[in-house]
Amino acid sequence: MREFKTFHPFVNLLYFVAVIFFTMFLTHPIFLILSFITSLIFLIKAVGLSEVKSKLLYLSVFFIVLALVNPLFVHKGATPLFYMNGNAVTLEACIYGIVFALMLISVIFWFFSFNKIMTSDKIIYVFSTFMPTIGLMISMILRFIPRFQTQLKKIIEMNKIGDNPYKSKSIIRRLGVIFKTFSILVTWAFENSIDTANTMKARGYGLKNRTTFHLYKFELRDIIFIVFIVVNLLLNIYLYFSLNMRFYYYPEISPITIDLGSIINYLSYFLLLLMPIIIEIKEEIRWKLLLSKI
Amino acid sequence: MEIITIKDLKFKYILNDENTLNGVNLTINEGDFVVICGDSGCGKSTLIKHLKKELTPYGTREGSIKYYNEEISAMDLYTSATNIGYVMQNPDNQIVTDKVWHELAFGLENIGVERQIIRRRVAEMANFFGIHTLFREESDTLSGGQKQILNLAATMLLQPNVLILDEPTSQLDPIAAVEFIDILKKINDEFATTIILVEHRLEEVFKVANKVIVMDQGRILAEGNQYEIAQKVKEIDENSTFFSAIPTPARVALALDLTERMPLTIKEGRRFLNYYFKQPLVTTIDKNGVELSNEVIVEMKNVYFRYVKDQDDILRGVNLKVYKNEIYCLLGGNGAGKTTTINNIAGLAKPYRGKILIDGIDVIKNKSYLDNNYLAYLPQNPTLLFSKDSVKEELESDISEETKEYLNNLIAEFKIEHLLGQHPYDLSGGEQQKVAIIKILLQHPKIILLDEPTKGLDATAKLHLANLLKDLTTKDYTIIIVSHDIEFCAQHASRCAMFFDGEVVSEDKPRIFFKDNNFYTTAAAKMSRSIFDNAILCEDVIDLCQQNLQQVK
Repeated sequence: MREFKTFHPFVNLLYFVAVIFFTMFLTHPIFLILSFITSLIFLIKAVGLSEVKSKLLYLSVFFIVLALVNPLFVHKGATPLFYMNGNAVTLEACIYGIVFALMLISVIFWFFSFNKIMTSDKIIYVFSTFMPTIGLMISMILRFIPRFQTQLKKIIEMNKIGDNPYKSKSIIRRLGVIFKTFSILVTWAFENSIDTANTMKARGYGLKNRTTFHLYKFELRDIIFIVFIVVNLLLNIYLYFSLNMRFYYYPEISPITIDLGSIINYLSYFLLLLMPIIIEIKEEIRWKLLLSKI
Repeated sequence: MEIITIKDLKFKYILNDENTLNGVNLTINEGDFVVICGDSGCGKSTLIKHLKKELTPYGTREGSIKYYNEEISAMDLYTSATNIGYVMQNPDNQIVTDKVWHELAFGLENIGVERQIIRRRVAEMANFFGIHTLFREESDTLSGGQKQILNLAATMLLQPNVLILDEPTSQLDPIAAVEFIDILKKINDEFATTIILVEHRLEEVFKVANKVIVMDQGRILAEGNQYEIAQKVKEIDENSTFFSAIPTPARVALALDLTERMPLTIKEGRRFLNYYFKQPLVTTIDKNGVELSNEVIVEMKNVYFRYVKDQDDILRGVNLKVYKNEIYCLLGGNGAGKTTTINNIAGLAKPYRGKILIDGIDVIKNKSYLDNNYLAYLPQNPTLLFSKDSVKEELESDISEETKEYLNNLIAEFKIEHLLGQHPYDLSGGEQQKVAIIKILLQHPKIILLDEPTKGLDATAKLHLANLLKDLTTKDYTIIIVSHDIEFCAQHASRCAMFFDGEVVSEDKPRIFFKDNNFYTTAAAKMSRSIFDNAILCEDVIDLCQQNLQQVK
């Protein structure tokens, strides 16, 4: 998702908030299936097919477990399929289990993509617009984590020389060396943070009227995208409530309506979900065209 | 015009009994490039910390320090941030944020500059320092030298009139250090920024400074330009270790009392030798170096190693032999694989092909042989070993009663009694190293591996270290050093090896090793090449010159 990634962080954020919110609260099966399909395409485009494949196995196990848990523990519903230990396993509970699992998997997919698109500096930027100190703090923490890891690795290597105490058979010795590693690391962190505090002061940290710098530009296409999302959201919410699209699984599954109004609702929701992918494909075609003209 | 005026500055740290600064008087003019030098503990760092209000140490103070007409202690944060820049020793500690661009903008954000203006200024500065290609990188991925240049750029973005630097190159390798000094020179030339630099690596800064200040015991010992300083230091004490920090060409001229055409650079040094010793009668020095034992203690046979299966090899068939009781130095550039070699010997990494024999035993097959504290490893940064609040606790933690006596002997021998009560982090680099070496010796190793032991040490501390290592070799220890420090290895190694492209390309006694190298060699060898045959140390050059002068008489 090269192209979508270059949009302004607020556009990225608004899109994901809208999509994840809808996925979580619209339990209508058509909406859910649409969200699931797009989340999968989005993720494949964002991280590549091979990485999605590597996640597929444990996610399908997760899916099956989730789908099974509901009918085993919830016995509501009008259509019993069979009885287990005197409890009815109902069709409604089975279907709700699948729907619920589908919803959770879609949300997980969306969060994977969110992670890929909303890089740390975008999150820092979003935070620093509302809470500048928190934004800086996140940035400092992100600076510190890799340093901490490198130092930890060095300390462990040092202690490993000779008779490796981390693999010692005696638990006391193992605990001892873990404690020692930890205390070396903490002392190091404290002593070195004094320098960092000093350099911050030396460069004027603590003055009033601090500004925040960032590298993001707000362009026309960002405005258009935001307007699109907002209009689409309002339209969907209006249609959803005016057509009474609310879907019930208990005691009986409500019928899936297919008429002009609901089809518009499905399509506009699908359009909202697909927009980044459409942009992506449009850009790809544009590149191909540009190249072919040379 | 005077930009900084210090009058009768006296200072005492709260916990100390004696003054750290004993009446310093100093005037620095606009556009000066001042170098302050002196041994560790002479008060040079304390002095320059007084020039930045936010870093001024706590303690009792007399005298005045003025920036133009303003007392520095009364300066407000904004004026201080925008007028006086300060760069510290450790490149890592000074980087506050996770991205290069954010780090550059940090100071300007603090003083409340508009976003558009920050953008412009950051762009200019990134280009000036040549770090524009790193602009969007994570700050953690930069090399040490790049990090320090980033710190310098971030400081310069606030457009200070005075730039203060506290040993900024001590943690860098020699090539990065030279690059850094060159940038300082450029800043001084092009922005007329006044630079005050505390340094002990004098070879490079001597060429660029226009004023050198030597401090000793909280006082200014000598002050003047390079030529005057070299002369004065010699007059004060020719045998002081500090004198050995002066660039080799100047030292040769001073030792021979031929100071009319005092050379500072290698080029001038060659001109000097050619002028006085056109056709030298004596050209070889007949010193042979240390006798080697014929017992091999560490041997690597055709060792191949890589970290990840799909990556390129780091070691490509390393062959080396270390004899018993010698000081073996592995030299070579960054990323050549020197540290990886050491890790392989220490058993921290395992080669996929080849043999490593220690005392004749294959330690890849018999890993348990390494378990008996046979090897000890002194890391680049000795603080990796420290976890306690005082040196005493640090050394006495987990040792038996019998070793205690040995420890007391070592403490006396290394003369660190006065440090026992201090926090290990408060010691100077050389002192930390001594403590770390004692800690290592308590394990009774036979082989000691040292990774860049001279990094950040001043001339005196280096000499102490060298004496200590030589002393250890007489006590049945074998020492393997990985280093960038050519001069140190030339002077003290029993054998040197050059590491390049994953293998040892040459290995010999220092005199032969450095004589045959053209570029990767000591200043003395570069200066005397084709005039003398095998002079690789400053003392060699002086010695040969004196012999020739006598012959002429």
